Formats: sequence, structure tokens, C-alpha cells
Amino acid sequence: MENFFSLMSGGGALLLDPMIWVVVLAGTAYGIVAGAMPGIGATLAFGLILPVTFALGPVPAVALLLSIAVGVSYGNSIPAIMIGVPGTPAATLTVLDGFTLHKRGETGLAVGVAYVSAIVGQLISIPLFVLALVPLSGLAYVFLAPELFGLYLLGVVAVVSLTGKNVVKGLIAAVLGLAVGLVGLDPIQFQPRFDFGVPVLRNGFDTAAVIIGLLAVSELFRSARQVFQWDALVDNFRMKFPRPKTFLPTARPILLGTILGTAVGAVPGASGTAAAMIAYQQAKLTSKRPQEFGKGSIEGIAANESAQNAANSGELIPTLGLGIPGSGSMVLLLSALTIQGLVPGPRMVVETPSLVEAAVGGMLASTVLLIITGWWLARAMLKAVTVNRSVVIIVAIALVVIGTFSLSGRVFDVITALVFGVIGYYMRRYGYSVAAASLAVVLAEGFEKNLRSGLALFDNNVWEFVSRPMTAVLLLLSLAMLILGIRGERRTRRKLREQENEPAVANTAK
Amino acid sequence: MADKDTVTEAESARLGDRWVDIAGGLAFAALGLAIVVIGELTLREDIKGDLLGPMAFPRLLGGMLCVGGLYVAFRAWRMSADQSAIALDEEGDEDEADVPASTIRAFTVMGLSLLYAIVLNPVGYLVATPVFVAAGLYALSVRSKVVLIVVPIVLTAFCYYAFAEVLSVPLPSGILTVPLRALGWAR
Repeated sequence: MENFFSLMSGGGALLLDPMIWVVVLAGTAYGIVAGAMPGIGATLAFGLILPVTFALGPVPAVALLLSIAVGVSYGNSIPAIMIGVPGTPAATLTVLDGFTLHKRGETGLAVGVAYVSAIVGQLISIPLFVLALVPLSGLAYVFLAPELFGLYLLGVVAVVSLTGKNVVKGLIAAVLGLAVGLVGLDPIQFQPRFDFGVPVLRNGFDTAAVIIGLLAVSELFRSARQVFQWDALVDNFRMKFPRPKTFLPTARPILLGTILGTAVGAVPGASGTAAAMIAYQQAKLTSKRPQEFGKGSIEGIAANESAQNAANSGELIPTLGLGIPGSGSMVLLLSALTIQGLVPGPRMVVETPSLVEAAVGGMLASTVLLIITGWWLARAMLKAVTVNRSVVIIVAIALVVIGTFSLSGRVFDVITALVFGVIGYYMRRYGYSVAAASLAVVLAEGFEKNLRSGLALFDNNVWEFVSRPMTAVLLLLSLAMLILGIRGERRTRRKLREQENEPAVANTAK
Repeated sequence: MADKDTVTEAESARLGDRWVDIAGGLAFAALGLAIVVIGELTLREDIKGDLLGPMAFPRLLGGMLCVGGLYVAFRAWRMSADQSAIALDEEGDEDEADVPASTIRAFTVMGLSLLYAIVLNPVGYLVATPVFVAAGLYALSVRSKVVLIVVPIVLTAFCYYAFAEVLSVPLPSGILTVPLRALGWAR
């Protein structure tokens, strides 16, 4: 309990630092704009700003990135309500109810509920995240090399099983990410591998460049396939803040969404989208007016928005507590911390508690800014949707090139990012998980190092390695998750085939 | 009634996608095989005390890529031979509905981006960046002269200020090195 209060108060103390407010103000504004532009999202927003974080220390870097995440989670509801297009997939269900209310002339009600739900969801989830993190930090010194190997394996398998429609392709993506880590020096014996005598490959590919390519550049290249604008969907409307008693029916779904959002967000690979959908479904099941869901229900908006905002805190639990990024944007957060010299893993929080305080402070400050400006910004942010999409894509690519160049001054890293962007483009088009690949790239060195050094620790006795209680549990969980993922995929394919065959059977019967 | 052998435009596109899927699977398999072979030829044997050694992961990962790639290629080939399977959901990220998509446009942007990166050092940031931005916008069907001139200039100036002045990141001066040095703006 003492750790909980010290972390929370440390985070609160950061609010007295003017530099943090400058960083958070910039991050929140940037995040809201990025969230309001369909197709951008937190991962791309992180990717574009990543080079800037290297000029900051780890504490302002974490505060900046998390304030962007808070901004995106609020900003994505604006186009969802006002033009029926979600800013990011996490706001998809907000479209169903929010856009319906907008068409009925009740835009203020929809935006007001989204605004309040986002703020409450974010505020309550912060102490929940710290509460979950404190016992994890107690495990830090229990986790030796075998346990870390098991943890990394679980993280990769979780992302493979939960993202994408094809588990085999997800595994290939993960293996590709691990294979990228083969280039460079062997982590135990320091023997050069796959560098082909090229000096620039002696230390392997730059991890940040690879991840920016896979996650950010690939999406930009994919977006370049189509030319269209969103501004044709924008219309004129009035917006008035609802009366306080209007919010009473949203109290239960907000609380439900916050708890579910934090919990589901903590599962690697699940992220805000899954959290929002589960919360929406549960809110509908437990509502006294389920028939209104999908037709303008404020309970639906409340559940969705509180869950996806709470998931920001949930994703931090495995990311900071275990060193396993919970989502694509968390992969980039960890990458930013790795470049700052921090080693991802359970000990990171124990040895550098200032990171948790930065996360708490960044999210708190960003939420305070949302309380003050969020309502007034909603209409203004709709302007972001009208920006020429082609301009956004090309400007973003230019920023990635310059930003990646600024990391090390090497054109090779820029070309690495672009080439992996091309690979990521192909992966996105044909169902290979870029999230799994980028997570595997981050974990690659630790994955092999912990396996080999762990075996050496037990005199190469494999049974002693795998029979350690925590390691055995993690390995079995990984296997179970993989089996569940494969079974889930087979069930989905069987249902699709049945749906395809139904019209043929009906025609035959006629 | 439509001829059951007639393939619609959408189905034809999906068939094309299936062949790309097969090629991708084979490419991953070839990569896996290359990793194993190159590893066997170039890496030293296991050193005593290190049970797995430097060759274990290349063998494991290369083998998995090879087997997985062949499985994906085989499965995609079987689907292309089975017309009813064409109707199965696409596995990748879908394009925006009712808007034409162009692979060539995406490849053009990729090519321009790679060219920008390659010429960044020799040509310099102040020349390469506005040219890339203008060319990229043109490739994405922007035809407004105002946008094609103003956006590249504003972006180049903004990024120069942000990176070179605020973050103190030295940006390449390229062909402008001599005049910029004469002005005292570059070292």
C-alpha cells in the first residue's frame, strides 16, 4: 500500500513541474488532432513523434507519449459522432449510437456523454493501473532468465493468438520479427551473424527504425492506395452541453467500462478496441434498455468511451510491469525507453519508479487539460477531418524520414524504416500481424539471451529450466493461448463456410 | 440466370490476391531456407558450455519460416483452385469501401520515399524535401498549384526549424554546402 501511495503522490508531484505541462499540452493537442483524423491513430501518432522523445529525458518522454494516447482516445469519438467515421477502430461502436444521436439533432448529448465518460474512465483507471503494478514489481527479483524467457514467449503468443484472422500467418510474422534480431552480434558469444561483412550491420538493424517502418510507414503506404476526402461528410449542427441529471443513466456503464477497459487493456494484443467492444456488449447485456443500443443509446457511448480510455492505463500494466508491450503504441513507448538506456522487464519499475510516476503524472495532467478544454475543442477538432488526406500522408512520410534520420544521422536507418514499411505494407494487405512482428523485434535479443543464459544457469539441464514453477506456468499458458487461438480461427472459418453454403442449400430446396 | 462459371470482377481481384499470397508464402519459405543455409555456412560450431550456441536460433527460426511459408502457399493454392473458397473473408486490412484502390499509386509513393532517402545526403535536405513532398502530393492526385507550392515550402521550413534549431539535429546540406558555409549557416 505504501508503494501505491508513493507512486501516486510522485505522479501528482510532477504536476508542479511547468516543463511537464508544456510537454503534456503539446501531446494532448497533438493526440486529439491525430485521433480526430481517421486513419492516423495512436500508433502512427507515436511513430511520428518518437524521434522527438529522444531529445527529452525518459520522464518527459513517457508523459508526452501517454498524453498523446489520452488525446487520441478522446479525439477519435469526434468524427465517430459527427460524421459517422471512427477516428480509430476503438470508436467504431460510438458511431452506432453517437452518429444516430447527431442525425436526430442531439449532437451535444452524444459529445457530452463521450466527453464525461472519457474523463471519468481515464481518472478512475489511473489508480487501478498503479494498484495492479505494485504486486507485479514484487515479482521483479523472482524473475530470472527462465521466467523472463517464458514471459516473452507468452507475450508474443498472446499477440499472435489475439490479433489477425490467421494464427499461422501471425506466427510467421512473429518469427520474422525474431529473425530480424539474428542480424548483428550473437547475444552470448558476440559472434557476428548475418552481417555479410557490412560494417553498418555489425550491431544489427536499429530497432526503432524497424518498428517505425512496420507500424507507421506501412500504414502510410497502405493509405496511399486510395485518394478520397472526408470533408464531404461534414454538415452544420448545434451543440449544447446536456443538463447534469442527463448523465445519471451513464454511471453504471461508465464504471463497468472503466473496470473492463483496464482489465482487458492489460492483456497483450487486446488493446482499446477489444476492451471497448467487450464493455459495450456487457453494458447492453446488463442494461434495462438494451433495445436502445445501436439506436442512440447514451449507455452504449458511455461504456465504449470509458473502456477505450481506461485501456490506456490497462496497456501500461504489462508494458511497464513486465516489459511486454500491450499494443503497437506500447511497442513504440518501450522502444523510446530502450533508446534512453532502460532495459524492458519486471525490474524496470523497481529500478526506475520515476517511469510509473511519469505515466501517472502525464495521464493526470492530460485528463485535467481535457476537463478544461475538451468540450470546446470538440467542434474545432472536426476541422482536422477536413484536412486534405493526401497532404497528411505525404507530410507524415516526410516527417518519418527526417525523424528517423535525426535518431542517428544515418541514411541507412531511414532506408531500413522504409524497406520495413514496404514489408509491413505487404503484411497488412495479406493478413500477417505487424503487431506481432514488431513486438518480436523488441523482444528478440532478450528472447534468445534469456533462453541460452537460463540454460547455462542450470548447467544446460532442460528439465530444471522448464520445471521452475513460474516458467512452467508461463510456458503452459503460452501453449494454451496458441491452442485457443487456432481453435477460435477454425470455428470462425467453419461459420463462414456455413454462411456461404446457406444460400446454395436454400436454392436447392426451392 | 448468370453462368456459374463466370467470375465477377471482385472474384477475379481476389484470385489475383491469392497468387500474391502464394508468392508471399514461397518468399517466406525461401527466406527461412536462406537463413538456415547461410547460418550453416558462416557460423562457428557450438562452443562447449553453451548448449544451444549461435546456430540454434537461425536453425529454429529459419526452419519455422520455411515450413510456415510452404503451408501458407499450399493453403492459398488450394483456395485458388476451389471457387467456393474465394468468398471467404479476406485476411488482410481492407481498403475503404466504394473508393478505387491503386497498388501502382502506393508503389509510386514507396519509390519516391526511397529515392528521397537515398538522395537526402548528396542533394541535401533543403532541396530534396520540397521536391519529394511536391512529387508525393502530385502522385496522390493533388493538382492545386497553391498546395503543391505552399505545403512543401512550409513543411521544409518548419522541420528545419524544429530539428536543426530546436533539437540541434544537423540536417545534410548536400549541394548547398558551399553557399550555406559562405553564409555561416553550415559548418
